[in-house]
Amino acid sequence: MSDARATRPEAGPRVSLARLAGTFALVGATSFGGGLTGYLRRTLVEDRRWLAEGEFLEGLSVAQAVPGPNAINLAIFSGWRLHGPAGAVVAVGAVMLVPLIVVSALAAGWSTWAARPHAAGVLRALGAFGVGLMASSGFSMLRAARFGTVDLVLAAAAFAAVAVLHAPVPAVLFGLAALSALRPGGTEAKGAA
Amino acid sequence: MNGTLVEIARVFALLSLTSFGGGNVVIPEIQRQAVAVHGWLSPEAFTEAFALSRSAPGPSTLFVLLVGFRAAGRAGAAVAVAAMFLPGAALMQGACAALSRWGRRPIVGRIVAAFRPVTIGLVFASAAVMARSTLVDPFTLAVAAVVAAAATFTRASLVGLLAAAAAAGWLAP
Repeated sequence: MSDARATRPEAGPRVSLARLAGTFALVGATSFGGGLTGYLRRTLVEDRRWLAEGEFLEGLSVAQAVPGPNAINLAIFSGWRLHGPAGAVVAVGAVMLVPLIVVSALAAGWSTWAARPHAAGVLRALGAFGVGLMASSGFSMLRAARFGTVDLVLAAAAFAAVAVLHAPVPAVLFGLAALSALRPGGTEAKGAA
Repeated sequence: MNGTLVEIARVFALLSLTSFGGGNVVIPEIQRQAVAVHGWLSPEAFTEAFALSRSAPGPSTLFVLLVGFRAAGRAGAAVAVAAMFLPGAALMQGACAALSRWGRRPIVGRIVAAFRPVTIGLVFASAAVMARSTLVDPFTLAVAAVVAAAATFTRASLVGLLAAAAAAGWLAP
């Protein structure tokens, strides 16, 4: 997944701003159940094929290391790769557009359609959908990354520290990344380049 | 009122700049600040706001709009969202600019690569954390399993899958 375009964002826009806006707005509008990151991966890597799998993983890594919601940072990274700085602004604006309108409407009403019995069922299913999509993103990225033993151990340690031991995410993120960087041999051989 | 807006801006901007690893990291601190420190809303209203925001699409952190609205009306909502999203977004723009300039240096590739296994581990961790409050019965477990399998092994369309899950939820007892 180290095709040349992945390291050459300056090679010119890959996607028009209008297509970028339309795609990110659709992802934003349909990203129910949490896990917007999973929606972005499925759409950008698999459906549109605008980003290579390795490039997406690079983007998600940077998104986690920089403060702010992962999905928002990821939209900025993806927009930048697809159409430079303007693409980044358009992508993040488009992905937030519908969610902002919906949550503003909820604030104004402060009541909820979710209280209706059928709607509650839909919400439960969409929550489960979000979990399934997030897990699928993990599997797909793992499959594409072709990790060796050390990487797999680090990934499992990060999972267990946060999901089982409830360790603070920033400490896990930077602590294990430091370990990962310091190991002999390093990771540059199959790195993000 | 103005004092409240300034406080909202200060609290959320600080949280935005410290949310390394993602927005979910700071939700407990949002609760502490909004409920215990500033009394913008009651613990029950906070829980309600969070649950309510789950019925909307978009990033989970967007529920700060509801917190800001409770604290100071429309202006509070706008200030909360701007403060929570803009500082981190500006940093990310800076990071992308730096990457497009220096991203091809081996040291940068090496640093980014060092995060890769941890990033994937954290994706699974966030699925597990979401699962704890979401997969509460055989129906939700089945939906998550079917979606995970379909999204991983087939090219089924995302919106189609989403519509199927929503329809199943509508019909489920």
